[in-house]
Amino acid sequence: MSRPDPNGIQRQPMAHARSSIAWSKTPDERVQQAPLFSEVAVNIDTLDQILERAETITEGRVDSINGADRLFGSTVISCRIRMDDLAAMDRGISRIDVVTALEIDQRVARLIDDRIFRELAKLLGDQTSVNFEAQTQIDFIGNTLSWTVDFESAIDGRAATAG
Amino acid sequence: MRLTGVPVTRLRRWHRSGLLLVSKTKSGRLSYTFSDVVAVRAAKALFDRGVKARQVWRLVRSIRDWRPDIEQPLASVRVEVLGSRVFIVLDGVTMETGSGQLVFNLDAPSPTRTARILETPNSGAETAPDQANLAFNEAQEAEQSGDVDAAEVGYRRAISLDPSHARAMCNLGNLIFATGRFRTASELYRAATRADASLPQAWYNLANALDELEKYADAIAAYTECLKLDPGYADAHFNAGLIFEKQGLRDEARRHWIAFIELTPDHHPAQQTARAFLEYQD
Repeated sequence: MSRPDPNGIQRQPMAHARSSIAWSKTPDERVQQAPLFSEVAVNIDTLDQILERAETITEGRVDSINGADRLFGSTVISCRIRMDDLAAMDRGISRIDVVTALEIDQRVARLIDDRIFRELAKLLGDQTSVNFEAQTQIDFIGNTLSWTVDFESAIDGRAATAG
Repeated sequence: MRLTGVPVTRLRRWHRSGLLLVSKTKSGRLSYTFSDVVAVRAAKALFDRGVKARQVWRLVRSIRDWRPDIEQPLASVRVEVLGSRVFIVLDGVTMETGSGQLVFNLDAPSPTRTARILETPNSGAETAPDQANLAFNEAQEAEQSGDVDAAEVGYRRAISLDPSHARAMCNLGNLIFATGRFRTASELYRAATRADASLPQAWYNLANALDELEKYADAIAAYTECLKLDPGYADAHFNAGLIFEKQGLRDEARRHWIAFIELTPDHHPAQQTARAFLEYQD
């Protein structure tokens, strides 16, 4: 492979300006918000605020396993990270560091579980169970941080918790 | 002559220069429609107010660049002259002509005059931004469905309702850029950066257009602004890397290639290019 000729390579395409981004509608909150990352930890309160404004897409289907209905599905939670936090990473925190910190922090796992429970509740209503299992993958690409969560949940929470 | 007050010799000169597109009869005589007469009168009014022929010619060329569908530019716009500056009102937007290009005038010299210039029959101060957003959303939908003409109309309408609608300028610029009218597109992008300096896409597209016009220093400055606003803007890193490579500035390019590789997933089609530039830093 030889060195490419820059004059023979196409630029990346023009950007399309979208109508609106929920995140960008709350500049005051962004200003007041504490940094998401520091050298030592994730700021859990800031992450909670970000997750509240995150875009969430959930899909699922019900399958019968050994005669019991269970919900199988996935949720993608994605949020844009503010510029200050990205700039902070130029001062020594890499994206891999961020993902690792989010993966090992049990407080973050709890926040995500809570969010997934709310998504389950939207799908299952009063049949929502507290018994669910989830596997999470975290990606940090561009200025978007996302959690892809595959879950499996019991159905009919009253039966599950009573049992 | 009687209708316009312009000598026939002058009319023929305007016709030959392309300033006015006038049809000819079978006998070779110039034939004027109502629209042509309006255009002649507009040109005469401009000359009478001291506007130089070169400025009028640039004005006509600019309008044709902005709206190729308009056959008789001078008959289709309102022209305002403020000292040596010439403004036109088209599509509800006030634009200044400069360097042969339309410059979207967001900071006109006189607010009272601008208000009068911008006055349109349907303008409602409270509802215009909402209507502009509505038009913008419709234009986006049209563009997504492949109806470019409807999209262009929609974006123009959004700008006419809200002359500071940066996103509409940005997307309209893309449609114009796609037709090869790079300078007009660059003016739209620049106007978008003035209307909303915090919109990274406007700076990014401006930089791309300036690169196309081979204004490399200005393009680099625009990429820099974009990346100040959004350091995670992978495409801006790629294009900035490319433009530095074109300039032979490999050290500057290098940090953008590294950033691009870090910001994009491994399967991104441009990763191989970025890696190749990094690998061959001879």
